[in-house]
Amino acid sequence: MSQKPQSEQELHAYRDGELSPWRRFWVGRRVARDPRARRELASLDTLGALLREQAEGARAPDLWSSIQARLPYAERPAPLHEAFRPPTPRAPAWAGAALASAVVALVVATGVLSGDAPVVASVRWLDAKGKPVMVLRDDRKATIIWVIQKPKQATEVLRDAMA
Amino acid sequence: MRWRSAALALLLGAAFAAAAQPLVEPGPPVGIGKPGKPRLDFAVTVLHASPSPGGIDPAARRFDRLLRSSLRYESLRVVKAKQRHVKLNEIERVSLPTGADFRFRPIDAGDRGVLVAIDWRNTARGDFRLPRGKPLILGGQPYEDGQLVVILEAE
Repeated sequence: MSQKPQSEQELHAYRDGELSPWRRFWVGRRVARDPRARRELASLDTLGALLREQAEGARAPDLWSSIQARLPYAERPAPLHEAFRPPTPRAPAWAGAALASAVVALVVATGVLSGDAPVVASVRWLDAKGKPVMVLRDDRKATIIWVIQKPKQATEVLRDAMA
Repeated sequence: MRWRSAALALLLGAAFAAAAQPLVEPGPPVGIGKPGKPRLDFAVTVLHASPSPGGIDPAARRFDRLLRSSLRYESLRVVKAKQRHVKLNEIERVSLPTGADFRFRPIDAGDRGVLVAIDWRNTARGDFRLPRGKPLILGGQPYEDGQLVVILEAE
C-alpha cells in the first residue's frame, strides 16, 4: 500500500523532471516495463493539458477601463528627461599635455602672475573731510576724483590761506 | 603611458618658458634711480576748469581728453606746471592759486608704481598708487568762476 503513493509521487516527479539522474533512470526503467505505470503517466499528461486549457480560458476580466472612468482626473506630471550629456571628447594624452604646457608658457610670458600686470585701482583710501566725493574714473589711463565743494566767500579763502 | 605624457608636458613647458623669458624685461622700479638713493620724479599740473568760454589751453589738451567725458566745462587752462624730485618719505608742497597747499609724500615705490600720500588742504587727503603714465586727477576746489584741478604724475 505504501508503494503506490510513493510510485505516484515518483511518477509526478519524473514527469516534472524533478528527479535525480540516477532515480530518473530507475523510474524510467520501471515505466518502460510496467504498462500500468505508463497508463498512469499518460493520464497525468492528459490532466496537465486540461488544466492548462482551463487556465488559459479563465482569464481575469479587464476592469481597468471601468475603474479609470471613476478615478478623479489629475494631470500626469511630465517625465523628467535626463539632462543632456554631450559625449566626452576623447583626445590623446599628448594633446592635453601640450595644451597644459602652452597655458603655462603663456602665463609666464605675459607675467600675469608675476606682478607685471597693470594696476587698475589706484585709490587706497580717501578722506574728503565730510564733503561729497566721487571717483569719476579709475582705470588704466587715469584716476579722476572730484570733491563737491560750494564756492567760498573771499574772506573764507583768505582765512584758509592764512591758516 | 602616463609617465611619458607627464615627461612630455614638462619638456614642452620648459621649452615654452625658455622661449618666453626674453619677452619679460625686468626693468628698474618706477621712478627709482640708484638703489641706495631713491629719488622719485613727479609732475604736478594745476588746471582751471571754467564754465566760461575760453577754449582749451594747448598744454592742457592731454588732460582735456581724459576729463571731457566726465566733467562739463567750457575752458581749460594750465595755471601751473611743476617738476619735482622727491625722496621717499619726503614731503613736497605746491602752492595753489587759492592760497592752499597741495602736499604729497611718496611712501613706497615698486614695480607697480609709487604709493603717495596726498593732502590737499581743505579738500581731501588719501593714499594713492600711481603707476607710471597714469595720472591722478583731483578736482573740485572752487576757484574764480570755476574749479581747480590738480594732476599728479609719477615719471
